[in-house]
Amino acid sequence: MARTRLSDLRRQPPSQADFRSPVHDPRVVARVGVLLAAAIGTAFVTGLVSHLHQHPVAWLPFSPLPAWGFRLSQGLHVAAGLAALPLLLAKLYAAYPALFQRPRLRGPLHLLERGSVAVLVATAIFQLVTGLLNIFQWYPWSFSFVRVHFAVAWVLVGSVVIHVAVKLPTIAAALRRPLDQEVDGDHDGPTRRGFLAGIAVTVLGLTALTVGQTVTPLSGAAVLSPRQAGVGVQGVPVNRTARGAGVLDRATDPAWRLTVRGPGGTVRLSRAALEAMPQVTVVLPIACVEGWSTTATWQGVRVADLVAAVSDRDDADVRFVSLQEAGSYNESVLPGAYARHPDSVVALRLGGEPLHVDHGYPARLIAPNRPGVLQTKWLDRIEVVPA
Amino acid sequence: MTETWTTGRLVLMGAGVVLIGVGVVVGLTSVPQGQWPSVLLWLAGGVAVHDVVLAPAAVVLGALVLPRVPVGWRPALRAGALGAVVLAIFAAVIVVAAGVRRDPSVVPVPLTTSLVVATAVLVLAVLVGAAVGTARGPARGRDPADPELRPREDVD
Repeated sequence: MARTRLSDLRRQPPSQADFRSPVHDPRVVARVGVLLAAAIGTAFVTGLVSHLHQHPVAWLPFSPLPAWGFRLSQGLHVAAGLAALPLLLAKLYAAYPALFQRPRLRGPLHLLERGSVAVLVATAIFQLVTGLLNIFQWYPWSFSFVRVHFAVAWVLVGSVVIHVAVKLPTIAAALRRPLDQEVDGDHDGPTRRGFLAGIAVTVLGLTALTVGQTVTPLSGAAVLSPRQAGVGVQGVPVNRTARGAGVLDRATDPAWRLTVRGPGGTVRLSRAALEAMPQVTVVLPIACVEGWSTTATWQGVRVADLVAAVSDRDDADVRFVSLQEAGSYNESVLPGAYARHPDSVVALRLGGEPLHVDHGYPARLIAPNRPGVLQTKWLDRIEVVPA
Repeated sequence: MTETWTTGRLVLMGAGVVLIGVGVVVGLTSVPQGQWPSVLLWLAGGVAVHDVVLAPAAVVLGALVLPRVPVGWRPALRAGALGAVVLAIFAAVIVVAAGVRRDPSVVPVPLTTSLVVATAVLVLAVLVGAAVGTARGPARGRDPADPELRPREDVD
């Protein structure tokens, strides 16, 4: 049989029937699809968790326990998103003969189906690529990543659900049939299995080379990751530097005072005054929305002790305002359940040393089960939120 | 698309439409209008890259490359091509990110180290896969043929 040459492809583009490889078999396509849907579903649910941490709703309050909750959730979010990249490529590869269907459109329903697949492909590539660039802090676009990533996530998941609805009979039949079952006497079971095994190896390999940004024992293997757990000044990665936030001068000014304001009055505390208060040591993770995380030892003053100085309410939410004047995360609100938790601390020291200025010197918030962007650095004032 | 639309499938379809509707409303109400062109450009760009780069590359791989290599090597080379595309994407991002980083804790591993190690892992995996594929010899199925199953059913 004559082999295909490049000139043959130029003369006559292939049609769907030309793709005879067993890797395009529905049994393979469906199985890859299940894995991809699981990765996208995991990323969607954990993404919602992160969104709700940052935009809390009264009917679904978070608890400060377990302290590692957000670390696990956001680590899964990024790991699932990264795993989805080879899975999406494999799914597109397995299914791409459908691009060469003839006729291209068979009617209005087929047009709708094609349209939903186009939305699915567009949003899937968009989410994975922009998510990948975001964790590397590269933003070659002109939109708010967080807002758009959140909105497009709903469209992606919706188009996945529609795709499953359209293809459900085919998917169900394909999943019921063993990979080794022959078709017209073929012997292609091992090829189908080999393709799926190759995908599994690729996904596991990519995970092994990236997950060390949150799984400390694998930190050294994270050569494709934007971060390594435990690598950074004082053993903790830095997201935003003091210089980048424009606070370097004010944060290192000896005249700095922390203002604590509540219904009982206002107090202004120097760093020395804070150090003279009862100190606690907590071991808590710092977990960034970009997926990296690490556990560190923090020392400082309990938030509850500071609140008690200006308020007799121990259930109030507390606002933490940074010296940083601009930016989406220059303040955060600590829910009351967190504020009264003994592990919620205004940290002055990290790993036994005074906080490095890039970690929030002279004082920062550290609380359990909370996104890093809400662990406000370079504190200027703390305000008890009126009921 | 000739199969019966059961209640379950209709519910799924409705749920999908609702989810997309939520995303569209959230996008229209939270993303400033001035940012929409950039969003649309990136959405369309992904499809364009798929249609103009990835799909033709896959055709070339399947029609021109794989038929010319031993059968035992093909699964490993297919997976290797998948890994190579993933690695190429990461390499491009890592190189640029290392250039624009604001703190040394971003991309902490030297570029040459990360790319050489990742490439070595990929090549090793392909060689091991090819050795396993070759050792197993020509493919032989175990189960009898199923005349109702058609491999090129319209699935995507």
